[in-house]
Amino acid sequence: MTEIGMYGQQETRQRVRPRPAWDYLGIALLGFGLWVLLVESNSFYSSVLATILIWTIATSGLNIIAGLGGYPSLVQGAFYGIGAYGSALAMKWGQPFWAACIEAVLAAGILGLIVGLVFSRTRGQYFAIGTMFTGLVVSLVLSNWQSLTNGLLGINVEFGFGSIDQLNVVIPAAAAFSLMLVRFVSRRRLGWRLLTILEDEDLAEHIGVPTARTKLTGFVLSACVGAVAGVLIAQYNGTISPDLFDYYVGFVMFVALSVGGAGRVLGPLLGSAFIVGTPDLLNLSSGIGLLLAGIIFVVVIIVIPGGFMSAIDAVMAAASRSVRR
Amino acid sequence: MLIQAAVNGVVLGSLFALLAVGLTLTYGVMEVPNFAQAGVITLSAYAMLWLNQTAACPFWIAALGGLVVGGVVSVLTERIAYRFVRTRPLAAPVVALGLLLILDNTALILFGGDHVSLSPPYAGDVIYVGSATVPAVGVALIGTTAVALLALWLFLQRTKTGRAIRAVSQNAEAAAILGIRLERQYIVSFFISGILAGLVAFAYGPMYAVYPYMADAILLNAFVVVVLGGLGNVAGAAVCGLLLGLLESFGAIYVSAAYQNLFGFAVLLLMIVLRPAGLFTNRSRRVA
Repeated sequence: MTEIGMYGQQETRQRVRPRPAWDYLGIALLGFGLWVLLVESNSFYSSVLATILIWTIATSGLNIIAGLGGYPSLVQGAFYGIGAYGSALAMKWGQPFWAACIEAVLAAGILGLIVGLVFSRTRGQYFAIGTMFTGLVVSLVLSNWQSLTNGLLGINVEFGFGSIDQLNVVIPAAAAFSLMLVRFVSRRRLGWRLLTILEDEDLAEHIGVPTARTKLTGFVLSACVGAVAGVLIAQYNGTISPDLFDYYVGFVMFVALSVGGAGRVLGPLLGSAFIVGTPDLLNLSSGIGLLLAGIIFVVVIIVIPGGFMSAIDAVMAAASRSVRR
Repeated sequence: MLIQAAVNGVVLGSLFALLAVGLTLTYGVMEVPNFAQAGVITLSAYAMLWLNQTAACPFWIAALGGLVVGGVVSVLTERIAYRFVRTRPLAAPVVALGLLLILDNTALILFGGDHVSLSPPYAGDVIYVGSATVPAVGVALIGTTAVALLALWLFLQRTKTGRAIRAVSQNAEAAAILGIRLERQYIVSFFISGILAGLVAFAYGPMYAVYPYMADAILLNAFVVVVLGGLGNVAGAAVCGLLLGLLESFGAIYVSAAYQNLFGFAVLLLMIVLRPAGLFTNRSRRVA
């Protein structure tokens, strides 16, 4: 991006908060705090927190295409599932754990490339419908390809880490890295280009942004990060079955992102904590829990359009105004 | 076998078409992907069931009551939620999912999660078409769809309100400038869409079973039909619904029943690659 914008003004880059190092340091500290919380909590809270962190990774991936680029992808659950099944199957076929991880992420990336090639031609709601249908097809394959996935019964996953303590370190570390990745991408060329697509895709195309390639790159990156989350949930749970990756999971991930704050670095963490944590912690019967969840989604989206992050912004702004006075 | 597949396909296709016109109507005026339609269908089906079995109304009165419930619930979703996200396309799918969760789980709490059957007086009857058999409920489904589509087409073409709805769906701002009251058209469209959901409940409930998540999976197929048929295009939705139904039925019989939904997906992929404007080109909107 050049220093002088198309109207001869300084580019928007100048307005960005300086010293990005603080952001990364803050995220790293947050990750450390989450690790302490994960290790110190009792087993129930610890497992809820681990699930929240794994969802944070998946929704952070989604944040790149849906948050920065404004494309409502509802297929993130499928990449999550491919990460889980891909790594579990690769290990079953005798691959070492690290190779299985790479293969699972590659598999998701390739599917992302194919799906992206087709659906990045579509816009808005059409993109939502197309990606949601892709998620349905992947979950159909997972539940019906008996010889490969053992159908609805699911498969056992070989444990790839040295000990459960290692896994407890890796989960918060990976969550922190996924947040950093979004922070990193958002201030790089890919992030700026996605932002122009979010604002006005036709205009972006007009001033020379390669929109098709940008969307595809963003989508594939989202898919790969989603697969990492899948690898971790498979390791954490020890068994996986298709119902963990049903087609509505991708939808719920999109909701988590929107409720937390789409396009914001910490949005996925807040959204996942809310969506995954609330039903588990309140221990509601499934019907009433889902009914409440539905009411809360609708109210949050209508009342605070930018999600929790924008509510926090508003509170902080009010606080700093009153301090100055 | 061939005739049976064709007959099954027409029944399935009628169902898709009936679902898709309701979606295309609300999508046309407001650009929301109304996933909550599945919840409206569920509540309407339970209303019919409750009226018929608990309140002991005759089946036809119960069916009528269910239709009204569908219409009212659908208008409520618009009044309570959708109208706040009209200008925010990214928020619409989230609100739609929230509404679907609310409606489905209201049904779950009120009526329980069991599969129950809605049985009209003609439930057990079977009609023979050559070597193939069609249950009477299938014939009722085809008939309901045909009548509903014809009535909707006449309404949209011939009445003042219908013309106003089409105007809003083509260009809401221009319609407002010309003095069309937008709010009224939104409410009317959602009411009609709710009635259509009620008709789906009336026709689909007896064929399978009534339970809280009865319509979730078929709704996705209906969205494929909406995309294929072009938005706000009732004729397109009807033709594409039939085509998709036939395709899935032949696929289920000759390839694999478990992957029935996959054929719809294949069509969607092909269409987006080959004909991004939809099968019935509609100049005011495009897919890609």
